[in-house]
Amino acid sequence: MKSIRSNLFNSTIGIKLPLCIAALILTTNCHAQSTSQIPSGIAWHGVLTDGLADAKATNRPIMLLSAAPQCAGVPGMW
Amino acid sequence: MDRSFLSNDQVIEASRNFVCIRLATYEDEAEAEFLRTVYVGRTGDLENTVFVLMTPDTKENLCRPGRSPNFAFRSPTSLATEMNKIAKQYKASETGSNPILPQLKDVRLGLNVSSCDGLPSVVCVADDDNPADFMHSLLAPMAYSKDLAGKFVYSTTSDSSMLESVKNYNGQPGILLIEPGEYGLDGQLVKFFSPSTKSEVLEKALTEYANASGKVSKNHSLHVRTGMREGKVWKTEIPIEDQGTLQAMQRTNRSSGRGAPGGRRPGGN
Repeated sequence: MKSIRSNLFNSTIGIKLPLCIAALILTTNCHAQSTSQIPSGIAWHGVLTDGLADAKATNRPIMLLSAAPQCAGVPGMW
Repeated sequence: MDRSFLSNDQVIEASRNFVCIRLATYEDEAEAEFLRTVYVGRTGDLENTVFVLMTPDTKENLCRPGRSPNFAFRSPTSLATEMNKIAKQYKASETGSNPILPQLKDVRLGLNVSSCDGLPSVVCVADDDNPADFMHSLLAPMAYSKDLAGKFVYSTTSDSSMLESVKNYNGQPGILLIEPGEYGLDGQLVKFFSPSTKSEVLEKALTEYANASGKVSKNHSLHVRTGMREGKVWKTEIPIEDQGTLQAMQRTNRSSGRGAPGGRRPGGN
């Protein structure tokens, strides 16, 4: 019984260990990829009159957002 | 600003059928006046952040306005679903041959927003011989293209002295690719394109740059603490009204020995 359990344990580890290593490598690579190129984003009009003119010309609905480009007076952070 | 909603892939995809406008709060009196008609807090003051979906003529709100998308939507998926539903109700015409370049109102704001977003900045420096309209007509189709949408922050100036804080730039008119400094108060010229650069060349260079460089992320509290310690200050164009922000600024200003927070009036320094 012991030898069967031991064999089962060993074979499980034998399968799991390479899988874990592969997963770790994949995760590391994915993380590197996500920071190695700029992801797609929303094309924001930053001027109200430009955005409104675009909406009028194309008859597309508007997603309007406003945010302050400073935090506690420090720039470079929304 | 709620990044979990606005960086969501489904929301980004849905945004292609919308005109997306992101204003900088407290940086323009006329825009602030418009925002006050959309949403104000309990005190009646313009708050730091505003979010709403609207009809193309702005006459009707298409969701409950609030400080952020989560005032009206439980999740990014529910926002994207609603946006897709709304978009189907409008027969949108194509942007056409003259799309409007999505840009900030000036380079000062452009560099700052670029730094806030962690994205590179594209600046058009125009003069009498090299009008901004021509450069915009080159860039605008790229700014909405599948490969480049939302990857750069655009702005324009006809005064190259506004870019004195940008290293390696010699003041010539053209299209500048700039990596903003940590606080968006300065930057470094990465590439310079003459105004006569062909659009294919420009598009290839921007695509290669976007694929080779990453989006910069920052630690919020560390950025603010370090910025205060180093005296990195942003003067808003109009006074800040958000009471919560003002109280927080007064607390931090007291602890850092800085003066009272204030805004600069349009035309002021």
